[in-house]
Parts: sequence; structure tokens; C-alpha cells
Amino acid sequence: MRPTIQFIIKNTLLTSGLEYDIQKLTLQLLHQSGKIFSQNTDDFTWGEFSYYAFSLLTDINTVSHTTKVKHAAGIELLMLATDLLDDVVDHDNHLDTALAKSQLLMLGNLLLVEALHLLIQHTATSAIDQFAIIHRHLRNAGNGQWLDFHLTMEHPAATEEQYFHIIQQKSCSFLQLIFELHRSTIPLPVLQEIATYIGYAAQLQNDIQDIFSDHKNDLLSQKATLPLIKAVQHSNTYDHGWLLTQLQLIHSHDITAKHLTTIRDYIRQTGAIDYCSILAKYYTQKAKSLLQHYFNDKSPYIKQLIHLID
Amino acid sequence: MNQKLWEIVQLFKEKKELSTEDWVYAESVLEPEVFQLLALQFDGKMNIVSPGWK
Repeated sequence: MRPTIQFIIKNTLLTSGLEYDIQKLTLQLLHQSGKIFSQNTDDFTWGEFSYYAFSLLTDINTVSHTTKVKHAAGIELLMLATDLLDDVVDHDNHLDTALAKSQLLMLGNLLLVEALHLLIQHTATSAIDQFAIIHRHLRNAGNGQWLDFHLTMEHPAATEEQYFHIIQQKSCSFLQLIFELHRSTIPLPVLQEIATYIGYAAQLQNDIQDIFSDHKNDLLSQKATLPLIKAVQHSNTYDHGWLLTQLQLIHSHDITAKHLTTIRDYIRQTGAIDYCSILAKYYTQKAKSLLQHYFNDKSPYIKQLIHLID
Repeated sequence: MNQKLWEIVQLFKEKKELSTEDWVYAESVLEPEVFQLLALQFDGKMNIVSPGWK
């Protein structure tokens, strides 16, 4: 499916009227890990995930293959746009290309507009109805991002309940958007539940990886992700708050690689990573069970979708 | 579910070696599917006592 989505994206960019440099940069960014042009075909990509979800939820007679591919391309661009804006907010730089903050902001906004154009243009339902769904979920995601930005490990310390409340908004909203974009016979609460489980699992996996990544600032900025929330909880109970003290020292001292390694080893030994890994797998299993229960037509798309979330 | 799982993970992390009693206790308080995932996560791992950076 990737080549077809890639073709649509290339074609969309070529005919978009965007400056040549913007088109070139967008394609370059879409070649990164986890994006639709990535060399690693095992990577999860939003474009493929959306296509299989649309195919599972709709009948070929109601939504054409072309529409589904164009909408999948729209989702791929939408997620790239939000990634770029997230990178500005989080001061991350995991891009292969060095980009100034202002470039990230401009590109993020432009791609958001192009994504909306792709998502609304090719729809059987009213464009206003379609836009209402997209608007609702993007607004929820934006609210979640806002709350997430202000949630830290400093006083008052973030809680597990707050973490799940925020990722319900900031991460699960995108999945709910994908599951609601086309009308389906499956009840909406079931689709929302599947989206929630996939969103929880994906966010937990990301947050575990980011604790150990030198390209992410989650640890340095004491971002209240669940691995850190639980590690701090352990530290406060057993080690007189050693972890929080060390994290606060980061701001007043030069950070050495050795110091970061010590902090990461400590987090691992608190059980926070084990706990979050088990939860991520648990939510993935919940999503899989619901998919298998409600889509028991042996559709090939179930297999593809499950392969992607596994 | 989450609180119970966290308590069991903390219990397992405190022990150098897990006994049959530990596993029986975990199985008695966790949902079967959570227990299976716990078993997969801790299978073959050497557990270290609380790190003691005090």
C-alpha cells in the first residue's frame, strides 16, 4: 500500500502550488523513520494505518479505493504537520535536517492546510460534516497538547490519572479522527474504545523510548510521562526523592552523559519501565480483541491493522 | 488494575529471586491477561534490589 500513498503524496505536492523548496523538504521529512517514504518497510506509518482502518470500516461500494488512499495521504501529512509543531514545543530535534524553529512553524502550518484539503476534498458526505469531525478531534488534540505542556514533575507533581486524561485528548483524538472519518456500521463507542486503547499503547511505547533517547528532551525538561511519574513515585517512597533531586540538578549543572546514564539506569530499576511496558502490551491486546470481535469477517485488513499496532 | 500491577512490579523489583509464592500471589491479585504479560516481562530477568541511592 505504501507505493500508492507515496504516489498520491508526490502528486499532491507537485500540484499544490507550494514553493519547490517546501515540496522538497516535505518529501525529505517523509523519508524519516516512521514516515511513509521510510526505507524500513516494517515501520508503523499513519498513512498505511489509516488506509487499513478506512478499508475495514467501509464498504468498497460506498467509499472508493482512491478516496481512501487520498485520505490516508491526508492523515500522513497531518501527522507530519503535528510532529513538526510538537518538536517546536518540546525543543526536540530528531530530524535529519537542521531546521530553524520558524521554518518548522511555517512548514507545520502549511502541511496542516494541505492535509485538510486532502481530507475534505474527496468525501462522499458533506464537506461541512467532515470538517466538523476533523475540527472536533484536532481541537481536542490541541487542548491535550496544551495541558501536556503545562504538566511537569515539579510541584504539584503530575499523577497517573492526569497522564491518562491528557493522552486521551492529545493522542487518542487522532485515532478517533481516523475511525470516525467514514461512516461505519460499528457503534461509535466501540470505535472510540479501540482508538483509546491503540492511543494509550502507542503513547506509552513512545514515552518509554523517549526516556532513553538522546534526541528527545523528555528527561531534561522533566516531562510528566508515565515512566517518569512512576519512577519518581518509587523514588519518593524508597529513596527520599533521589530522582527528583537529580532531575532538578540537571538545570543547575552541566549535564554529563554519565549523569544521564545513572538517571536512566535508576528509572529502569524502579520498575517504571516494566510497568509501562506491561500496560502498553495490555492495551494493545485490548484493541486487538475488540477488532477481532467486531470485524470477524476474516477481512485481510484486520491482519494488516493488527500487524501495524503490534 | 493499574494500582495492583504497580504494587506487584514493586514487590518483584525488591526481590533478588522470585519464589513460587510470589508468582502465586501475583496470579491471585491480577487479571489473567495482565498476569501473563507480567510473566513475559519478568521471565528470565535478574531482579535487582531497590537501588539504594539514598
